[in-house]
Amino acid sequence: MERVSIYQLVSQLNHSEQRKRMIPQELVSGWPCIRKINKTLCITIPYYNRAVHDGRVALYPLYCSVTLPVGNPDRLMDFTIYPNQRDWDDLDYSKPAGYFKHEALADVKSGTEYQTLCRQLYDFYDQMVAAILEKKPFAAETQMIELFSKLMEPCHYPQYLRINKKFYSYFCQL
Amino acid sequence: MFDFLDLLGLNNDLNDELAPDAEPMGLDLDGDGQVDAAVFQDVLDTNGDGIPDALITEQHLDLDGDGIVDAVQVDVSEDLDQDGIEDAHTVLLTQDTDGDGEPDFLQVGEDFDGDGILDAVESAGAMSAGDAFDTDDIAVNADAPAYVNFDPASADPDRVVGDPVSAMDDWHWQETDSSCAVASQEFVLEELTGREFEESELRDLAEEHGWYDPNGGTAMDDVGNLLEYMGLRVERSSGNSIEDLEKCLANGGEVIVGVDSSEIWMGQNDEFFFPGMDADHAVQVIGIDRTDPDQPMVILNDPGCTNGCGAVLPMEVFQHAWEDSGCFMVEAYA
Repeated sequence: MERVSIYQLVSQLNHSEQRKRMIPQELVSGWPCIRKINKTLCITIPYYNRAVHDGRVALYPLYCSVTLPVGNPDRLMDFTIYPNQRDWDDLDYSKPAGYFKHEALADVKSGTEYQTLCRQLYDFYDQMVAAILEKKPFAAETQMIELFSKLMEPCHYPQYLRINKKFYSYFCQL
Repeated sequence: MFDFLDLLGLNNDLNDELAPDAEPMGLDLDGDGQVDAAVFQDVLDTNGDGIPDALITEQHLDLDGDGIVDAVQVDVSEDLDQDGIEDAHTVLLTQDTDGDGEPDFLQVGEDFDGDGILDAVESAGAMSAGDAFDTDDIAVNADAPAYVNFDPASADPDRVVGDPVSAMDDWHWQETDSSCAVASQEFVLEELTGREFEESELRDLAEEHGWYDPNGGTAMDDVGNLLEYMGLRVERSSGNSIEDLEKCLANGGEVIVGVDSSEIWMGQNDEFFFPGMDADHAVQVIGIDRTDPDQPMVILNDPGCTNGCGAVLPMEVFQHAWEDSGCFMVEAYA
């Protein structure tokens, strides 16, 4: 498999015909997880709504996720809409789950700085996927955990754990 | 918008409140010998103690001299403790320039700190960039980006493509956080059919057909379905250019695009930023203004914020935000 760019993969999905057909255009993509379905290495990308309320960015609960093979992102492995799932019917989608930006980002003063940190996290995703494919240790694991823990929105974290507890609880420690 | 009038014990039709007993004063505002304003005054007892504590001044203005009142400004001056010093001043301005009986321009302003400058304004309709509003004391509307709103008086009509003034009549703030696409389609429907629609009814219709989920919103491919349902001709495409937008507007069409809201709302303000990737908002493009050829502007009806009526964006900012949707657009024609 060629070197994978998780950022490019997410971006391509966000501009794809699949996304236009299946996912409300009001939603933005969140932090993906890497998982294996049988022998296929996959990426699960969640989506949620955001809005501005009283000068703050309101984040609504995670609404859906798309799962694709990392090596064949044109193929759909899973598409789940969470408000329609019984395990998620305790969430109120008419209200924000919380607000951005959270306390861990208090020292991040600009959008430019924030985007730089996000791209760094995507670079760590790439290194992790490369380590998995090459069956080598993931050298940047500690740095990824530190950065992911900083960037993860606390109000979304419990929902991320519902999607994939193993991945998110390991790489994002809140 | 009229809630404060209800609190003051006024109803919406101030003519009924004041006209029967009040004698108007005629004013010639521009000194041409023609009366172009009628002024009524009356007093009000807002707290029901039998003592008048508010003075209402209502001006009926004939702005274009055609003998028809096309703007009404009501000033309410309150001295609640009767110490002779004004405690609060409220201004309500309605404008009906097309004479259809419906306000096409509505502003409610309040002067909270008594400095003579309106501090807070709610506006449904165009706000002139020349209006002097003091927003230092109180956030006007913290949901409102720093938009300039289209002022036809300052644009060269030969250099504006589209009919933004007409389209601005259709704008309203979207009723839910997931209904920008429904609201944008409502604007287009009203502009092309001449009929009034309710966003709530269109949301229900879209949800029944599976085009809209109140918990999520509208898939990009489903933007335009309401328009087709109502009999309009619709074309959807990606990879478009500003010229494609202009062509649609010049041909009498209306257009909805997908944009990244964080880019159009925050613009150059790098201190306010959002999580998440890519486009998340539908807006109606209602005009392209090349009055200043060095600073072309895109005019939007943005349902996502309170001052989104005729919102003007530098073309470069719009282009960048639009690219996040792959320059997706939905064209509609009658």
